[in-house]
Amino acid sequence: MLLAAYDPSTNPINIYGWAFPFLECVHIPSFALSIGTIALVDVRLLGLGLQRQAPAQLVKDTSAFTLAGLITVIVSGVLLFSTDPLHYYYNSAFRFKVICLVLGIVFNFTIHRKVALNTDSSVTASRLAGAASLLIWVCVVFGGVFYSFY
Amino acid sequence: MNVSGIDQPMDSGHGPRNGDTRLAICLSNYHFDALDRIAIFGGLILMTDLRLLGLAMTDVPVATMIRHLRPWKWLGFVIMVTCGILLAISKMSAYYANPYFLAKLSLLALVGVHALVFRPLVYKNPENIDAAPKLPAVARLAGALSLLLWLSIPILGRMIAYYEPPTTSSNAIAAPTLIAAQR
Repeated sequence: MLLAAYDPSTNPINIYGWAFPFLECVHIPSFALSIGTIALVDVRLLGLGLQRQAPAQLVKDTSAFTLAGLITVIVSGVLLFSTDPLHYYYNSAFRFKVICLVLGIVFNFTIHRKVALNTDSSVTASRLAGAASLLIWVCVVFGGVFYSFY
Repeated sequence: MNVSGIDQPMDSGHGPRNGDTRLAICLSNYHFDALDRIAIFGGLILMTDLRLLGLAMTDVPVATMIRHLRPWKWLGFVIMVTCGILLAISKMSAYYANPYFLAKLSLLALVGVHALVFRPLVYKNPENIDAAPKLPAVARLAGALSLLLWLSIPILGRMIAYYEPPTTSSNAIAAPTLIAAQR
């Protein structure tokens, strides 16, 4: 396997003591930004706030922030992962988180986006999409918190 | 940011470490920081602040942002404070000695001061901000300070896990031993 040939002790992030906490400090606000902006659209889709704005308008307003947050969170996440890939790879909470993350990204840019941008979306479809999106992203964060317990 | 407390356990001893030592430190019981759970709500605060600064969602009125997102932020804040208190009292003596924890608490107190100062000026009557021809300076200031506070708090929260008490920081094997004892 590719990972077996990799020695984490040569990784600069493991050599410089400040690098890991610094990356975490980038990682946390970035996921707050990406998930928070998605949640803002979800609140609207659920009909629980911002009713005077069309979901499509909110998607348009937030998409740049969502994308910037997702890119930063993934780049910092990959760098954090590189400090000890095998440990993360075999960690079930980490796997759960990555599966939810992939699911969340795919859902966000397909069904969620389609429902939000389509002005004819039914209330049920909007609510389902909003609820599913919130659930998936909460799972991503919980997976992230819980892998320190395995 | 004071990084000396982090560098000591990493750099003392035998030079570059493998991931195990770092993971041992991350796995310390400090890791379960309540702020992890305000990701969603933190994002809402971030967007409101950026709106007050005129940097995002400028076609949505400030009043709508503030009034409609308020219950969600309160929900997040209540969850965060409840979890935070429960976590803090579980290891109060360790947290109390941790300067990052004290700094974080101070910033949370400043959030209260921020609310007291800016509530009558900005958040109570956000319609006035929308009615103004230009975003008032006080609204921008409220947004900027809130942004600064809410970005610093999770960072300090995360740094709590990296603080090594002075008595153990000079001992290269202290960190893993300490963590093993805590499990």
